[in-house]
Amino acid sequence: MITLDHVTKNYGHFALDVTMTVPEGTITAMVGPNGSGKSTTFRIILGLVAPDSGTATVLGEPAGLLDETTKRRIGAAFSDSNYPDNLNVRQVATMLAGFYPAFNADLFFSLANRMALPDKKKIKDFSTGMAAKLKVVAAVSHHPQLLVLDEPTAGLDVLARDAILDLLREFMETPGHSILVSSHNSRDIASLCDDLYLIDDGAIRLHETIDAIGSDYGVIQATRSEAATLDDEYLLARVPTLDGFRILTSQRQYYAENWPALPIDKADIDDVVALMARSERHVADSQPNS
Amino acid sequence: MKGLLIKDLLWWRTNVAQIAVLAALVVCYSCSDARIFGYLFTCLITVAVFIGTATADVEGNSARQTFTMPFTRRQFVAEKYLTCLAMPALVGAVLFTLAAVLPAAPWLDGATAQTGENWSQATLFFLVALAGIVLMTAVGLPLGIRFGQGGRYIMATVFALAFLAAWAVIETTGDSFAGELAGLVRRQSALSGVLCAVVLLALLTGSYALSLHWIKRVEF
Amino acid sequence: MHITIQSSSMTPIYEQIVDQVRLQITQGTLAAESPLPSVRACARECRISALTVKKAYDKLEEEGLVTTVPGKGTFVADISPNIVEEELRREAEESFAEAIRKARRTGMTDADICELVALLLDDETEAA
Repeated sequence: MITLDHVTKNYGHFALDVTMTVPEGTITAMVGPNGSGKSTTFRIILGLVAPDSGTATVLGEPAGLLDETTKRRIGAAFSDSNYPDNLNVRQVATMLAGFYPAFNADLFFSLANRMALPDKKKIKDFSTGMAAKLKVVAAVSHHPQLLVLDEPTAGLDVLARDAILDLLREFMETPGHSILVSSHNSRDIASLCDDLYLIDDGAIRLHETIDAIGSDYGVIQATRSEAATLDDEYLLARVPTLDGFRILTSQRQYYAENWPALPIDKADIDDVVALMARSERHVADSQPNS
Repeated sequence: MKGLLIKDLLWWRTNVAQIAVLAALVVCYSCSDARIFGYLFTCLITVAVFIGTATADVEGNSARQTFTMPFTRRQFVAEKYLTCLAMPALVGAVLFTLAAVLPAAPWLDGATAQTGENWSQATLFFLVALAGIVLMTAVGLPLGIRFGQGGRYIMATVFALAFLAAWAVIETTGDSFAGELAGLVRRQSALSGVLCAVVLLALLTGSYALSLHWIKRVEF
Repeated sequence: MHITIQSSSMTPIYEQIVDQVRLQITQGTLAAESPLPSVRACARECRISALTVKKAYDKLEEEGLVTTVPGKGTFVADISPNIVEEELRREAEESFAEAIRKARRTGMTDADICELVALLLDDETEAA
């Protein structure tokens, strides 16, 4: 549903070069440190920013020339922007009804109720949590095919996060839907997404399924001398510590079997991001071994 | 297009203060002997407020989220021109009809309250208002789109200067401005009107093209 | 179908699903030809990636425990619970046979092998 082929954008001090796909029926996560290019990528996908080169295709159309019919099939939310803040929930519904023929007011208001959104308050008086919930509710209420959500659970407490994630899982139960989501929350991604792209400094460093990360990835803690004995083949990143290294591997079983004395733990997504981003050398580009 | 209109309508509903100011202006001018001139002024203020919705859409915190909604940038610009031209024109039509139909405030000099005179005066001023609306839109919208809030200040300065110039003209002509203008137009009539219309249309077309060019370059 | 995932366990998540579904089929909790939840519904319930669920369902289909009908979903295969148990027994028997072959290759006598089995049974019973 989304295809980016060597999409580049140069801002002088920062250069983006992204190649990625979000297939139909998939929830794809985009993770990476702040300033790595997640937001820029999303903006290019939604036609808010024009890329310098490369092709960005969304729902079969070029991202820069999305017409209103295609845009109606997309629901989007940005963490640092909201609907006009002098509107209240009812007025937002009126506005959305004017823009989206498929807008379901009953669904919108029942979801708004479920999320405890205040009826008459203006958006400018919303808390962070309310503002975030409103955007996701609005995004799903017009029955889009594709959701592009930039940090939809940022600033939410655990209950609100769970509610949003469940809403997204419910969205995926309809076949033919896809979600591209960015998040800093490791647990959210692990419990929701199918695969992830790690972006750092404007480039994709890793594309892997969540399942593989959970079952095969690991973090090895080794001293300098121990690290020297390790077989490089499945090592993705290496970060120096006080007396050795923390090493990310995509095959923890292999290292557990052959270097049984070394402490190896399962890797969570935070580990993957932190180690890949701070790795002292970028190991060969990791394309999916799936 | 429908969504954009609804969005702007909602903007007006939530900015009651703006409407109140305009209404107050109308009432004030209605009770003075410069009501026709006042109504002209009110139309132009209305344009300024509509240009304000454009700058808010393009520059504000809601810009990014708004532009993910299903409209093209071309539709966005088209709707802005539509509202900036049509709405003040409508307001003008209503106000100038009232001016022609209703007698002047009772404490004013009866000489200005002749109904027959009022109709031609009102029509004249309505046409001047339309010209003003077109001019303001043509200059103001591209500036607003290109420079956001800053554009409005540029535009305000430009028009302040224009009003000053017009004021100077009125002062030096001495006679009633309405009479002067009426005389001028009656002398030149059809040709000058057509010429005016052509110039304004050309200006509007150029302005629209410029707005389109600039909106396509905005990165949200 | 009730599945409990332990994310802290060393057993891969998809294997946990496969084991639990297999157990429910042999116990009869999941009747033959009854439908399994859709991949997405199961992912939602367990709060895991849909790909993991799909992997589990694929494995179950490989083992002949479920069948997938395109467009309709996944259903428990038309087998009696006994057959599953028999299949598991057969696999256990094969594992035993293989272990005995290995033991004989190292030179262990039948008596050694029986002693070893008794010892291991004790260990397993203690650990359980």
